[in-house]
Amino acid sequence: MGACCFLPPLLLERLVLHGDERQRAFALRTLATDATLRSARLQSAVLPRRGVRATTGLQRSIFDAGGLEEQPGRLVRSEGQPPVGDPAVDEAYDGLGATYRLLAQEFGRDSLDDEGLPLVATVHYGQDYDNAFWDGAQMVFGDGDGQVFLRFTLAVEVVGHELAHGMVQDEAALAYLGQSGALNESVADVFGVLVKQHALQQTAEQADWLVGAGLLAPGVGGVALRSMAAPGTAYDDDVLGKDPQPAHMDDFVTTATDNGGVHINSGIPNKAFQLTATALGGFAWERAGKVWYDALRDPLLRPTARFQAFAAATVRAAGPLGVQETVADAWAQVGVL
Amino acid sequence: MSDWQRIELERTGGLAGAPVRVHVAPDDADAARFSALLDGVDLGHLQGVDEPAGAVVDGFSYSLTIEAGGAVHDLRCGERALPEAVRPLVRALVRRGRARPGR
Repeated sequence: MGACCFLPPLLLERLVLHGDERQRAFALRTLATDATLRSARLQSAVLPRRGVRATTGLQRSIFDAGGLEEQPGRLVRSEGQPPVGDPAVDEAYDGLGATYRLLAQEFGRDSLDDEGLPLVATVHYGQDYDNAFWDGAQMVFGDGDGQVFLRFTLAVEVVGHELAHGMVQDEAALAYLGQSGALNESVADVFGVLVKQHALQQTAEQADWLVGAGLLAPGVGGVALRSMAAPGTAYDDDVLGKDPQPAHMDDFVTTATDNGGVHINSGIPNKAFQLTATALGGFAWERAGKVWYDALRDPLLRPTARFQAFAAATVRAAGPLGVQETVADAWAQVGVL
Repeated sequence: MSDWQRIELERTGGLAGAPVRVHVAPDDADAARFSALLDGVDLGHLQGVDEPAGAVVDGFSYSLTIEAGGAVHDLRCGERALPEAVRPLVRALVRRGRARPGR
């Protein structure tokens, strides 16, 4: 522990990023034991500090970047204003609302930070921009290139996914690297699809369990970006390639790219959630979602948690609901427990 | 710049997580266009600004390799750190990597 007090988090972050295996292991260990981690975190961007807020509740602002890679852009729709007729703007506005309602109604949570954080989104970001991201303080959505991807606001679960990153950052602060990064991605997918299921009032059996349904342009061989029910089957296309997600630890992908495959190996915990939700039946947010939410808030869960540590947190969280066996069985089916 | 031997781009990450990999050689039909895009790039000072992992959650990661004049130049960085001078080249490479034959 001696070194931890002298190595500033920024240096440790550099070791995590650029060090060799031993330096990286040391830095991650040190960061995990460093009490300042929750504020410094592994991310440079943190939620904006908030003073005393006069009001809480749903506060949305949608900005238009006008095709530039600039944020936030021009304010085009604020809370309470009617639709503006631009689908990207209005889909983003509705998606933020759907996400806020899921968190407030089913988890008693006031926005991403449980302190009424205003929700900010930028649309029409960049030219042919094939992505959506969370920058630590707001969501950003591209229009897609029209050839492979359509606009990213089309799928409400993608809006929910980006917002859920904000909640993960505020709670477990799962480090965006390797298994903890894949957990960060998976939790974002879980809450993303819960937003959709909640908006449509679908049960676990009725849900399609797809992330990014309808985002692929016509002619692309696939149905979505990811499938939580059948990871690895969302697309298979000449240009896009084949969905690389594994559904079991036996097929875990070791890679240096994508921060250690955070968008690839998330298929494993995704499948564990889908198995839990379908085994329990009914609305997924009621029990499976509650278990995952409580695990995310478990003070024993470290930012560097691996799959087994998160699985253990979900089993602990399942106790009060009397569904420990179902949850443990789901993780066993994907080879984690 | 016409004195180059290869240009390679790998873009990973992003919400979709579907990588783009492109390789362009000097005998490419569009070689002249890529040469023009290389003109604005100072290969001797090709580097991104360091940023921590996950500074942009769901952001893209880039790995660009340019072999020119007998030297190999590498750039690895997140999307925010991508130098302004290489962005037009990177955009053209991604468009190439995502082009559907016959469209």
